[in-house]
Amino acid sequence: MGKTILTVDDSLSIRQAVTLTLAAAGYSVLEANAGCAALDLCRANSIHAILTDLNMPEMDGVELIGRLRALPNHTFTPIIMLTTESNPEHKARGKAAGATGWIVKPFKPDQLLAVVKRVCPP
Amino acid sequence: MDAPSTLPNDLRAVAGSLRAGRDAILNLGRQTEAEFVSLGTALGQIMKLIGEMVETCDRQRRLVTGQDESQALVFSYQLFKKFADLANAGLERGEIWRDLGRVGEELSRLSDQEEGLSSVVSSCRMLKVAFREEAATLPEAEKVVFIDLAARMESVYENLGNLVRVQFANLAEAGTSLREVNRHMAMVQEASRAGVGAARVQIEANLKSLDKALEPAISLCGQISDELGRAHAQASNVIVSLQYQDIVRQKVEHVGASIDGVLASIDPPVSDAAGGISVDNGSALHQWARVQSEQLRVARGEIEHAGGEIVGTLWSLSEICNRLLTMGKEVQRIGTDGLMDSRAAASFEFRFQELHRDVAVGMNSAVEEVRTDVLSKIGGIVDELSAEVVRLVEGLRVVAINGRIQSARIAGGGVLTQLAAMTTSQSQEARRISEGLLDGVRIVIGKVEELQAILDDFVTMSANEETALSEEAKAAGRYLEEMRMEVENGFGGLEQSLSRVRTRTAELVGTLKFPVYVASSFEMVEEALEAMVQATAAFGTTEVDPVEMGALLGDLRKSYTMEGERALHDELVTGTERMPPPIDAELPVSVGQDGARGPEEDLGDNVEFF
Repeated sequence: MGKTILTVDDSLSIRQAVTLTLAAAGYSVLEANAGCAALDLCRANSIHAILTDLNMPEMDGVELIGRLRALPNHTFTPIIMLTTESNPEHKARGKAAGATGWIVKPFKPDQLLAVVKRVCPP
Repeated sequence: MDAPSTLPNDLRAVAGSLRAGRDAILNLGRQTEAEFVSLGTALGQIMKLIGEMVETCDRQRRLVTGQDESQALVFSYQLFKKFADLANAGLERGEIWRDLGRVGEELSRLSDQEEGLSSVVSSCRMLKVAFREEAATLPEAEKVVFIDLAARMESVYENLGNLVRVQFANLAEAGTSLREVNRHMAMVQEASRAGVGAARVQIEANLKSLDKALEPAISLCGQISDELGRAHAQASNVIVSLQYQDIVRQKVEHVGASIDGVLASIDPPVSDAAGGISVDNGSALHQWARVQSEQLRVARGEIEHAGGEIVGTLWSLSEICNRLLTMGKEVQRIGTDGLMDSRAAASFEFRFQELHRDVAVGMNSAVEEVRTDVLSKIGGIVDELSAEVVRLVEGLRVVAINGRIQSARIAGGGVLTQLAAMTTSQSQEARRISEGLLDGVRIVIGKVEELQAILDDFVTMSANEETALSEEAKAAGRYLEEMRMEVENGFGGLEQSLSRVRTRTAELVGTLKFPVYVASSFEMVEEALEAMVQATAAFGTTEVDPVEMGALLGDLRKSYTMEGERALHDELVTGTERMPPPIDAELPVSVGQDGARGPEEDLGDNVEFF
């Protein structure tokens, strides 16, 4: 059984693009369309890495990272922000909240896979 | 003319149109998402097929190039070499036929004894005459002794002369038979050697021809791998373009929020007949509408560009599939034809087995002929001769003894003693000849028995080798047939997968409708904005609050500027090295400017690890 990656984005097509890319490489992918759903999935499943959007309604990506880091089994889980934002202030907020890395959309599938493999080898 | 102090009432109608346009644009986000999700699902299927094709192609390439040593192409070379080596070894062992020549030499030595025996017979005949002649000179009482001795001698040798002639003639005939066998075996050997040589040459030529025939297939396999890589890259490019939908959605949400903001400022004055919007607000509205209109046209262009990119990429994928189809069919044809020829070449192993068997059968019949025909004949000849010679020896010994006894009694005893001594000498000569004959026969029998033992080994080994060769030949034939079917089915499967990819991409191109949604949705907003521009033209563009205008324009710029996203998209799709897109066009951001650790070079400029 491959490692499990959680992708969090309110855009179905983005979640689909991530799943297409990672599933082909042997990862198991779970999807959440919002921060709350992501937290529920993290409590109920063994998640090895998380990719999250920044701009989401109700709970943005930075807040989600903060809450994830408060969970005992996700203190060191790799969390990568996958967003259209590249503003340094956003990045600083993400880093302070506990993000492991930052990818600016659009991403190339091989690029995404390389990043995930680096933080979460299959 | 002074500028009007309040907004006209037809602005209410414009607000309605603007509202409708906003709803259309927000709906656009949902419609494009559904379509892109469908595109993404189809793309997933396509990428899965491409992955399977890559595996198939790799397997076929290993098969055709013989890189997997368990496969028959390499195996066949080794097998055919083994056949040839075994056949040659068999032929070498078959050289035992030359030992038959040595049997022939021994037979010649036996034949040499004929002269000796004939000489003994002649001598005995002369002794008989001598006895008779001596008897004629003697008185009657002594004459009888000599005549009796002469008669005894005659009785001993009288049949031997004929027997010697006949039996040594038979011996010569046996020698001739042996030479015939030798000659026949030499011909069998030569024919087998020539057959093995010819078969080996033919097989080597077939294998070289197969190698040459498969060269273009191997080259094509490499090209197919490259094309599959390109197909995978194209499919990946579509995934990049799919992400445009999310960017578009965010943009239109900004647009919607911006329009909501403007509507909020327009509605109260329009609904309140007593109030009105100030000149400043009217000017701001005018400016806002002009900017919106312009930026909207840019945004629509960018979104249509994204659609065009997707369509173009999918058509490229379809063209790649066409090329792959042609190449795959060609590899299939070359591979299966070449392997069919190779299978025909494999039938030569049976030729080797036939040759092997021919030599074994030939040797068997030769030695059998020597044993039953030549050897038994020789045995019979020598037995009869030996018996007669033994009789001669004994007979002459008795004559000699009698002669010596009688010589003491008679007056002509001196002559009789001489004749007796000569008779003894002939007896000894005859014994020597007899022993020579028997020795010779023993040697011949021993040699033939040696040959028989060697032949038995040869036949046993040949039978074992034949079985082993047969099994290996069958295995080689099975491998070659499996290879041929693997190539035929493998590339047949590739053809099916390619057809499915081609059909699916054509379907996708036909069903991509989001550029239409974009055009119709944006048109509604554009018309509303144009109406607002017209409606607020009377307020002009002067005396606008620069702070408020700057805020509005800044917000709009965030909504519509897609140049950065397009640049990054193009960079990812074409591999052009460029900087990541800024959200704020006036403040380009370069990685590392804020002091953060830059991204790994090999992962792209849009990636950063903390």
